[in-house]
Amino acid sequence: MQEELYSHRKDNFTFLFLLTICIFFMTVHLESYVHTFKNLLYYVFFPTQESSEQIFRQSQKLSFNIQDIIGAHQENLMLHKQLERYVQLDSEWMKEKEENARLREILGFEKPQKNKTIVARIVSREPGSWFQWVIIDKGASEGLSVDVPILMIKDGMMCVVGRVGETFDHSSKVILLTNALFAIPGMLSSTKGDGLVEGQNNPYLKMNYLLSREKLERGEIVVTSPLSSVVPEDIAIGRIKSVEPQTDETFSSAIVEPLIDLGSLREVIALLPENDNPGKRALQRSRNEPNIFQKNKKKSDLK
Amino acid sequence: MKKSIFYTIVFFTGIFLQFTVAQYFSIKGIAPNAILLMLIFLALLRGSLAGVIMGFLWGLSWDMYSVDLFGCHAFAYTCIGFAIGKLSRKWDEEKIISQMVLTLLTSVIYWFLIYFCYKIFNPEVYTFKMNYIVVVQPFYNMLIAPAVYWIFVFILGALQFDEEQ
Repeated sequence: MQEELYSHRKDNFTFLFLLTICIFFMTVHLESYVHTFKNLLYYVFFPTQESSEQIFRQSQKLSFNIQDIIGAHQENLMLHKQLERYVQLDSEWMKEKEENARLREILGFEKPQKNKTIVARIVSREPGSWFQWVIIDKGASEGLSVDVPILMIKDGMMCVVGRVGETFDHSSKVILLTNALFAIPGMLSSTKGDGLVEGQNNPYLKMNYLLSREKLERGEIVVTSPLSSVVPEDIAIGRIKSVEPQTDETFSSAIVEPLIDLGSLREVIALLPENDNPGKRALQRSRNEPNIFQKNKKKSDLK
Repeated sequence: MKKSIFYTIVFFTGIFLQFTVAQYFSIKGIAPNAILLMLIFLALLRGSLAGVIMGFLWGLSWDMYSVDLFGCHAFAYTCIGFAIGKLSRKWDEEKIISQMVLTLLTSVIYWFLIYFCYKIFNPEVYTFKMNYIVVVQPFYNMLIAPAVYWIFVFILGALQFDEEQ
């Protein structure tokens, strides 16, 4: 009984003592020593707070990582299923391909040309106007020759940048599609109507010789035509910006905006025919043809 | 020795829950008052003295982090710790409904005590703003009270701490 009474007294005294401290703090809260005390406590306890925050953040990261692992596992299972399907599709495609090649051979069709690509870096550009030409760091020794198409990928689409105009050993001059020297057969992606896309020495291109009955709509994509001998078909050129007023009964024309931003172009892709390497060809030629010493030797043998 | 370790762990758990974890459970800017909930259950299970001391320390820590009137949280928590401690062994804390009712009442009293401190001590500098947080937070506390009680009892069990030791 006495113990309980003592315990109650202890509780009450502690309560009153701590309450007095609280009231003291509140009364003199603007005094400098209270501020100092507060700051001291903060200085002592802040690392605890900071580290607990870090621990919590780390544990959150851990949970995210676990989530990622679970997600990756699920994705892996899904991709495995897809892969099984694609293996089947691949074998079907191989059969179709073989059949196609056989039929082409029977019909005497030319085999479609295979291409290989070389990535080149733009090292210089025409200082006066960025719509004329650029110099790239790949040249004849890498297999580039005049009229090799120069392309670039934009938003997942292969787009025309220009064609090689001059080649040197380790560099080439590229005539950009906006250059007045550049012209390429193009077609409307929707109606497949053919026309001729020409550079204007300004940011835009002009598509001429479109049949008047073609419905031209703003924003329509213009791609390369199969008639082009330089660039393979279905490579994006640009988007129709405006339709020119009709002056001819038969043909109409449109202004095309190139898809490639020539101002920010840094790298390009050169499209080479797979078996067409001029360097290699020259080497083969030199092996087949006797050189000057061999010719002289043959002459002496004849004598 | 074991007692002091237990209270140290409880103290830092409260700080961690209030200042680090509670913000992740905030709904429209209202976070639960984890310290208040822990204080209620600590005082109910361990009596007035534990409630008063822990309430004072938690309150002082809160005051240290905040820019409010220094000492007001310590005052409110000390009073609550003492009052709830007096209900120890008189209130059936195991019943969910009694946990919720007690939490709701204490949360309202807590805001009243803060308002009281602001009004009495330097009302020119600190003004109490009656907003939706003051009204909604007690209900939020009330709803999560059973979960906090369960966690608290679990920690007690894990530390295997009882009064006799």
